[in-house]
Amino acid sequence: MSDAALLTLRASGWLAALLLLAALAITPLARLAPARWPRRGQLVASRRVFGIVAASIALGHALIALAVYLPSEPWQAFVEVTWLRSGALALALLVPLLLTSFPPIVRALRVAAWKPLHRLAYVAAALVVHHLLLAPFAPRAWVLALASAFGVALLARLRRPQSQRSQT
Amino acid sequence: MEPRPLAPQLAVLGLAAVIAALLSASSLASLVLAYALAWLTINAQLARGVGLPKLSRCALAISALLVLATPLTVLAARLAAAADGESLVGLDENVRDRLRLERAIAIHPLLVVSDRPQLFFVTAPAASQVRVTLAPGIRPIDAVALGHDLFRVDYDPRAHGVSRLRGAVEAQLDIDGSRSTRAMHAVHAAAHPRWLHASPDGSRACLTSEETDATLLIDAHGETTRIASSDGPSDCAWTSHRTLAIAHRYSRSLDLASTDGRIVARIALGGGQRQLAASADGALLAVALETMHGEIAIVDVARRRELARVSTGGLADGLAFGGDGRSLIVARHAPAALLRLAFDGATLRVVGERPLLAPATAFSSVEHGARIVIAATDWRDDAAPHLGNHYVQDQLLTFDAATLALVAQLPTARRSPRQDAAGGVDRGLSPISISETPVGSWLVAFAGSDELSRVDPGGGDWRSFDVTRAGLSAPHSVVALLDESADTVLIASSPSSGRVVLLDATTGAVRHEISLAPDDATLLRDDPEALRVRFGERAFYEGTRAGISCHSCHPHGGSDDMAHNIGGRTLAPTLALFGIAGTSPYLRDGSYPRIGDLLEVAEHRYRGYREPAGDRRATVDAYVSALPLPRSLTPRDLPRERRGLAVFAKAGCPTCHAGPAMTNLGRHVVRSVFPRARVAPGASVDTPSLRAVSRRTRWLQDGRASSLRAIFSEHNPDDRHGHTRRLTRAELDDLVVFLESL
Repeated sequence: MSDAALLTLRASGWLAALLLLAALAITPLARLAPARWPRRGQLVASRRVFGIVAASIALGHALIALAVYLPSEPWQAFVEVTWLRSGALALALLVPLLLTSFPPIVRALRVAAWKPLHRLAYVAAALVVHHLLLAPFAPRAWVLALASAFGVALLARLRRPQSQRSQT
Repeated sequence: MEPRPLAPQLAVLGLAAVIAALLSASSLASLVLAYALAWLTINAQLARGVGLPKLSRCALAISALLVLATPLTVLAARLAAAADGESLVGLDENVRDRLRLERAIAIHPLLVVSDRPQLFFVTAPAASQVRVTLAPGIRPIDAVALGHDLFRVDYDPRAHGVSRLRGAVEAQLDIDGSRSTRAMHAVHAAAHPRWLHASPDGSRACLTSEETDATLLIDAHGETTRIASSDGPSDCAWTSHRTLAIAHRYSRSLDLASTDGRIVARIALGGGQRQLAASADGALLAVALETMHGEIAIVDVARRRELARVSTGGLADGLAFGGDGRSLIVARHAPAALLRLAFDGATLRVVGERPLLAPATAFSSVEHGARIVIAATDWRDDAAPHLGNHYVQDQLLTFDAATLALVAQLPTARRSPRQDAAGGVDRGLSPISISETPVGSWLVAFAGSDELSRVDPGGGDWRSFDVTRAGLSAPHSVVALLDESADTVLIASSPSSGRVVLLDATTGAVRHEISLAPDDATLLRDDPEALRVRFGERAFYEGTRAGISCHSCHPHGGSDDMAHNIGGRTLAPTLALFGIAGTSPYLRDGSYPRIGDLLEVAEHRYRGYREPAGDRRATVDAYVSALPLPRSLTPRDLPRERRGLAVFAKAGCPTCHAGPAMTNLGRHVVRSVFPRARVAPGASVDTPSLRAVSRRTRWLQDGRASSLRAIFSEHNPDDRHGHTRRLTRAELDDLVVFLESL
């Protein structure tokens, strides 16, 4: 594998992970913003864009891995190698989320429980962290920082918004 | 409160738990599948307009309890297996090791031992000067810059001092005037009395403790003299009943000493002296040397000089003069073989070779040099390897010294009345030394079954003593001496216990003890960590019910250079255990995250241990973690090593074999690196550390590379294991020199 191929593989993986983090951080960030902030709606709407781009780049990362790193018969590797399995699983979760980010597809597929599906983004994030922790090239410090950021985003998301708290 | 429709998320989660329990989910993939099925079910229901039930809070709580109690209990019971299957167990150790090595300024290994020179590597980006104080009490050492942010630190306890502390210490790294500290682990090596040799008249024995630089002379009543010789006495041999030679691993001199303790001569020979043999007339000494390809040197005792030297193609496990006093028999470790050498007064040549299937774990000359007896874990007449996995059969093999023909084969592993499991063996395990008594019987020390045995070689008659009654474990050596009344006294050594005992040859009763290291009670009070290491050493040599110990395949922590399959699918040459601490995960495929986990092999595959001994995993972990890396076998050539490092970097090797441990501890799919490897498509390989790589005899994960150079010249056609296809011959040569220097 050439240095350029390795760089592209690693860069695409990290970009996908960071964009996924951005997508998950949008809602907590939006809650911090003042209620009357004019760009609040735009911020919330950008969550969809971040998610779509993250999933797309994750797809690209997988295709690059298949082309430059994985053996010619990769399926058994996906089954037997833990970190490859986690990565594949994360991608398998991101693909339906990608598809159901488009309202026409949501309608066509008759998706009625959209939120329980898209909350799988947090599961995908956990699988991404698992993938990176066991993968050979990712620096540990970066992975731990990413895991912490995902954790903060999840905790912030679990905390009920101020408006709901004041109602109780 | 009014009943409200069940939230879809709760419905999906609840149904997923039930499905996961029904599926016996024990992996992340099966949990995700369960969630997906649950979501599809609930979504389909909602899409058809069928609403979820309305429940009050109280009803919701009760329903959740009733529905989910059993599935959650089932899933909780599978949690441990799931965590293990997803490589989560022990992951913290790998993360910790990788964090330590990935720091911008890092040092490896983290082990500092008190008894031998060691080599450390430091990575310090953009640094020009690095000075390291390894631990309190050790003088600062200026590191040698190799280039590409890599620095080498040569530590010699005799020159730089010994750490005042034991256990966790801090190294101070002075990088261009800026100070950093890094965690290290200091070990003070205890005395390890090992190999006993009886004098020609049978009145005394000599013995060395390499760790404490001591050579002892012992008679039938106890210790008579202690000789303070040079650095790292590895072996001794009698040149007469009043004079002896002492070999040294870390000093360049071979010492000649008298029984009154004086050093009468020092012969310049070079370091790495491993073993000694003296001719029957005491005129010649043969010295086995630790060099790149293994060498034997002949020394004239009277003229105090080396006469001849020859390479044997590998390190020696044992050597002895033949009956004629001018031939030598050498047991080579790898490729395992008996070699016959001829010395004509001026030259030394290899004149005969008999391949062995397994290296000799014990070696002795008997019948005045006419026969050679070795212990080995395997033998076949055609020397073809057993395809059966984990094959270990302890046995004594007798060869004719002149023809190297096999004369007798005597398996030693057997059952005794104390056997506690069907098919288990508990006697005659791991023979580790053989000596001949004045009447021609053999004395054998069995480290795996804590016994000393007197064997009648003709009839195979055995008489054994259990040395645990004498407070010994894992005996390494036994010889017979005669006292003034011509009664025989047995002397036995136990390195792990730090003791030598004199036993009555008839009853096995202890007549005298020589303690060179603190006893267990003292260590428990003063140094519990050292006691843990000692217990681990005992467990390391202890035989399991299958008759196999760690030592069986990792002799004294090294490698038997044979192919075994422990983790899974691929036969792979055994790896040595030296210096592996801090390089999680372990085994070729990285399937064991902690050193102690490796004991799972002994506990489950080898049917466990007969005797209870506390937490063997923790003690073996402590012992193996305290095994230091051996030194490089090649002489220094700094300019070539620097050029070689430049080639190493040019080829992209640091991507995976990053300094300072020369591994980034990553696991790869084998076929990603070696597309043509004959392994299962899903096989993994743990990036090995390249430290001490020159000491292996076969390279790559299945041992298919016969030399370091062959890794690149023959086994990297796809250029995926580094970009080596376009390297010139000179660049490859320099690369090999660099690798050999590690």
